[in-house]
Amino acid sequence: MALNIAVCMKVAPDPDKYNQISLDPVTKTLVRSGIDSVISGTDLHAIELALQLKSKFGGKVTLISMGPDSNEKQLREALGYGCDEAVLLSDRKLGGADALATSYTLYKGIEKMGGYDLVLLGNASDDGSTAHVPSQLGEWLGLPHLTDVIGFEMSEESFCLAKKEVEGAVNTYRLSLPAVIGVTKRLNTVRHPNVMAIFAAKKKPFIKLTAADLENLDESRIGLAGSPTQAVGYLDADFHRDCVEITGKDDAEKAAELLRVVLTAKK
Amino acid sequence: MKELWIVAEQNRGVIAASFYEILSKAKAVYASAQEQPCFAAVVLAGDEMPAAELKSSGVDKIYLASEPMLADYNPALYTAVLTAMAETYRPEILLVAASAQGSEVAPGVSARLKTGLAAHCTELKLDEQEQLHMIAPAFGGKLMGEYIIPTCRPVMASIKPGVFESVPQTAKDAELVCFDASDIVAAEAGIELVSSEEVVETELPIEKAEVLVCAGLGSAVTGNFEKVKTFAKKLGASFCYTRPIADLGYMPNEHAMVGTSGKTVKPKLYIGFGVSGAAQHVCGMKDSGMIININSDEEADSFRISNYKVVSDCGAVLDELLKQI
Ligand SMILES: Cc1cc2nc3c(=O)[nH]c(=O)nc-3n(C[C@H](O)[C@H](O)[C@H](O)COP(=O)(O)OP(=O)(O)OC[C@H]3O[C@@H](n4cnc5c(N)ncnc54)[C@H](O)[C@@H]3O)c2cc1C
Repeated sequence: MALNIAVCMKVAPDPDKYNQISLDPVTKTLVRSGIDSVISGTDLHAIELALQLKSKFGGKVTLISMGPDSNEKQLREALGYGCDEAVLLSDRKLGGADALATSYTLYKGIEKMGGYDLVLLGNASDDGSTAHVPSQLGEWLGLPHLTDVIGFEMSEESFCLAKKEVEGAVNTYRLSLPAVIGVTKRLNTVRHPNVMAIFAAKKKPFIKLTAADLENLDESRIGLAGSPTQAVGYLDADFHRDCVEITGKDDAEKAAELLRVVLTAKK
Repeated sequence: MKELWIVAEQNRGVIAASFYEILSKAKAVYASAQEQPCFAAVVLAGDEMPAAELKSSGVDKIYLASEPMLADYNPALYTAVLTAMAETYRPEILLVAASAQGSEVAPGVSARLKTGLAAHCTELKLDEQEQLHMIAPAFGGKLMGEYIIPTCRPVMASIKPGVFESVPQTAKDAELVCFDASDIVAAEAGIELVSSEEVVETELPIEKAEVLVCAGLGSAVTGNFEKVKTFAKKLGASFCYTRPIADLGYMPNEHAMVGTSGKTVKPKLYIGFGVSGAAQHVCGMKDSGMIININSDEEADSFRISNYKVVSDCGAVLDELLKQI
């Protein structure tokens, strides 16, 4: 039962640096200089699952990403984890897409590549974090889908079992393949590749597709113009408070003063 | 009359608190609007019971799809039924809770209806044309993004639970509209619920706690995680944590995880040990009454949103706190 698996991967600004993002006080535009772009963290767990399934059942893992040409760098890095090939959907026309337009474009890319037994994604991206793309992609593809997955296994031929937490319960669902699965970080532990593997990945197949390469593409569904949800702008969220330091000659003194403050506030 | 729908999520027959929060906010947003919408609750359930609870909630209408197959949450069934209801009655606005269920069903419905959806909203408002603007954390809560859905209908938004206060509404005798979902339920295939382990919460939910003690990764990697828990217990406070504590397995689940991807809390007092103050965490606790952080790094971002700070090794401070309390 070899599995043909696609992992949709997003490149996002490094989430550890979001405290450095600000708004230009005059133009109200984003200032995010000096923040590197990385593979969106949860997608690494989707890659990990894909690779585990491949080593167990055999098959192939294809990375699919929508974004600018510069995403080749992170896609090559992801190939170093052990994925077999990468597809980049890159075109000016695709820019400014909301989740719905993104999921439509990924759907068209998947269709162009001929379809997969399993499509895996990180449940939410580091930056947008809407968690909309997995379900929306499942809908475009017309396939069963489940998000927020914390446990996954293949069951009998062409079925899988996926576990998720809902209000008041942990539910296990059985999905027929092909299926779309949004995974969480709790699903597995990512094994990071060594330098040799990343180097070797330089020779792996890398396919770039533009909008013109996608068949029967409805141009009214892509990019900014195809996005029903529009950003009006950003607002500053400054939660700064004036902070008093609790001091003391040692930790015993600091703790005593801290406890006094805590017990007063608690009353 | 344009309709504003709020999905009244039910779990084992009980309507979720989020419904009342969203209804209260929606009513407040439209309080002085020229054009008043018809407020409707939408219920998908195994029987008619949950709808009875809503009769006097303050809504004008209740749309009920009651089928035995809808008793337990099945994403495909819920998505199909909610889509069919929206296609039949064409609401102007469709609001759901950004709960586990709502966060999954809403994008599926939006894809089927080919409309927009704003995620995890923490504020709603109307502009001069009485168009709904939806505001949600962006970049992990470092900024707030403001969104509109100008052309597609319904306007869809998922609303972060715990953000809006639920205010008692004037009861109305709501009209009940029953939607026959039997054909849809029978036709959907591809995903079935095979087992459900009930999770019984024994602790007070952190959203309800007056005092919260938070364990950050800095407490765990230095071997002081248990001390934070003990201190919380001795103080009579509830215990919460940052995302890495759940991701790295120090805690088995995310029930008491605070932040954009966890719970939103507003305790009277919040005390964090070894919390760096990442935007994603701050977004979930910034509205706390008093904030205190203990961190060994004097440059920690968590200090910038605190009223009090202790710059020290949290292990040493915890040892003293446990001795002195
Ligand atoms: C999409 C996305 C969603 C996220 N959602 C959430 C969320 O909902 N909630 C959340 O919390 N995070 C969330 N995160 C993660 C977030 O970005 C941070 O990584 C996380 O909040 C950091 O947790 P922390 O402060 O416990 O750990 P760290 O950032 O590792 O900070 C540890 C702190 O401990 C201090 N420290 C170390 N040793 C000591 C010591 N001996 N004594 C005292 N202090 C010490 C350090 O100085 C440091 O400040 C999300 C991330 C992403 C990408």
